[in-house]
Amino acid sequence: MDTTLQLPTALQEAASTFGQAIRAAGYVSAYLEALARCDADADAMALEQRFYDLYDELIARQQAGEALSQEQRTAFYNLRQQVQTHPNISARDEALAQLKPVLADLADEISEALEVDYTALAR
Amino acid sequence: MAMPITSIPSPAADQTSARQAARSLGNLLRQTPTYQAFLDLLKAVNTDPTVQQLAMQMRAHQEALQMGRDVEQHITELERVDAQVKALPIVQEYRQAEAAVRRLFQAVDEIISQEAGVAFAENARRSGCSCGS
Repeated sequence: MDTTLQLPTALQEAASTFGQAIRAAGYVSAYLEALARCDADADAMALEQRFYDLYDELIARQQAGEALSQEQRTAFYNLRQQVQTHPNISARDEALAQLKPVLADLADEISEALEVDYTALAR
Repeated sequence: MAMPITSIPSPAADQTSARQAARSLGNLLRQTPTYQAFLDLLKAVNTDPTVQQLAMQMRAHQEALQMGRDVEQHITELERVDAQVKALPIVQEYRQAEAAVRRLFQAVDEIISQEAGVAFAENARRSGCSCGS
């Protein structure tokens, strides 16, 4: 089923102009640079993937009724600590953390015009 | 003589431009028939006497549950009233309008995100926000 929504031209242009304005303002460049460095770091990517795999595994075990051992919990927290302190991963996450309030302020401008939270309906 | 730099926009000017673009987009979205239909139904639902009455009943059951009184009975009642609310034609119409607005906003957000280079709505969300509906 084709669910593509054909937007009015004026709306397409306004959305495009806004997206370009965000990029032009340099809000995202620091994040995109940090993201690119992180994506290019094979060790960082492998470490993060290991963390997500372990997380999924432990959640599945818990949902299956298994009580996690202290050893399993420790392994999880240790791996999480390694991810959080990896230079490229933490730089990327920090850049995103700094970007988010800026994007939220811009979304507030849209929400104000709408009288509802744009982000709640656009995701 | 030093020439004033006028061709490179300052970050402050760019931020103003982004804010203006956001406001323009919000105003355009608001004018769409899809969004107007949603707003009308939102107001209608919020002022509908039957919806209000059922909402009061739901709040009473929720309060009783928070107090831990007759938990099973209040859960059953809460589910019954919730089903009644969902079955109301005006609520069903509102849900359809909300779904249409979601599709519209998601399509707009795809364009913003593509141009900006980052998922906009996902990263612009403030924790603890609701849509006001």
